[in-house]
Amino acid sequence: MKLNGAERLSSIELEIKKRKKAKFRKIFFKISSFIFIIYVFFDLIGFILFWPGRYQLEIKIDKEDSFNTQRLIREINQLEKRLLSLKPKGIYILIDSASNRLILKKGDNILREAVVSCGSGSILEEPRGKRRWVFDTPRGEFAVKSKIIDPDWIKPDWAFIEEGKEPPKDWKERVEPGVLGDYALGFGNGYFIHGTLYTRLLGRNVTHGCIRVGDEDLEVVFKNAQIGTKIYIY
Amino acid sequence: MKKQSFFFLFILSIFVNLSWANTSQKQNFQKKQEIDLLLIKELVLKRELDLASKSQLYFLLNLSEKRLVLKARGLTLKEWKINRIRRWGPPPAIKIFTLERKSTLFAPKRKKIKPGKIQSEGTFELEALEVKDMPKIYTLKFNNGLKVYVRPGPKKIGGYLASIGFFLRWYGWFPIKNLFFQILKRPPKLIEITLVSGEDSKAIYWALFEGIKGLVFAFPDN
Repeated sequence: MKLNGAERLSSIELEIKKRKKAKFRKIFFKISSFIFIIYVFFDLIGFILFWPGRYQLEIKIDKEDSFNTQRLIREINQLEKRLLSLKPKGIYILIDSASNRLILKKGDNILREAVVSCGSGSILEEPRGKRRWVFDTPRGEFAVKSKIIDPDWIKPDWAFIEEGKEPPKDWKERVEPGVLGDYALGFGNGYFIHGTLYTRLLGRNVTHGCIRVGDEDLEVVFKNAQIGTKIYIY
Repeated sequence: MKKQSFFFLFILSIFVNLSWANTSQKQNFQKKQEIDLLLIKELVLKRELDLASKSQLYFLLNLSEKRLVLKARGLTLKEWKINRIRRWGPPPAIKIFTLERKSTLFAPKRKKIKPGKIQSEGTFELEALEVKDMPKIYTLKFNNGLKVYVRPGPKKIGGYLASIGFFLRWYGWFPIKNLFFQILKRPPKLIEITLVSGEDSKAIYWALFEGIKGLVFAFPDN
């Protein structure tokens, strides 16, 4: 079959395009291979250089005899004893804010374990003001600072703002009896371990930072804890 | 005959010498290991005593025993077992680290309470930030440039696919990154911990708050 001039021209153009594409592919493959090789090379260098090593303690083997191992062991024992002496003596309270659990302990013995409610972590902002509250249960080491029987809740400003009301100026309007249960243990900055009306929410993070405990558990905690009893919240 | 016995004795003496040198080298190495272990133990205890003497929570990340402990006054509050630990470079120096930032793709957001819109306690859970809302995969960024990558072990197909990604990142990308940072005179300190479950991962995110102090250490291998 014979091709006319136009057809021959287009077939030649097609061939040139094909060759160009092939050449481009070849160059692209070469460049990417080169980049890959360089990458692998530096990766290997990094791999070798930063392979997990050991501590570089500067102890010379030739001086090992003069190195007093016994003295070191004695020092370690002393440090361990000092660390042990820091542990709380007597009864203490552990509060796990993640799993909402309270553990009353004496040494290694568990006296009582209770399901509680800790802070919700929510934020409240005053509508036209600059105040902002984060309802977290504080974490760290605390101590029982006050023990109250039949406590009344003195509603703070945020409680009114949350309800969309203006905080009253007369403090008597802030008193709300019967919502904190039979007992309350204060551990500073307005935070308390107290009772609750909403027992079905125990085990959930729903409070404004205080720790809500069921009535029976609260009684046990209240009777065992003294002023100064350590509280560890984590 | 004399020549043969001399040669035999010569070979024997070489063997004896070699084995004696080997034994003494082994003994030296063991002794050094023992001293290293004691020194590190002493240093860790000293630092822990510094942390425990203050009224605060602190953590100990023991890379050798593969466990993370939350403590206060030397008292263990919570403990997590670690499935696997990977690290680049030597173990971090035995000094007190402070957690500066927790970095994650989808950070948990605190819910805002709308004033005046009182909800019944039954629906209150919607406004709470709980441990189940915490991320499973995140990075703990400490002062002195230490980064601890935390993730749970894979359980489903998605997890296995993600593991391939983490593997490529750890062995493909980090060595290059380390090299670059080494050139900038900021030696890399990277640790990756894989936990048994996603719940552990979430619990650690909850427990280690920004600003918490602690130690990251490893004992010499036996």
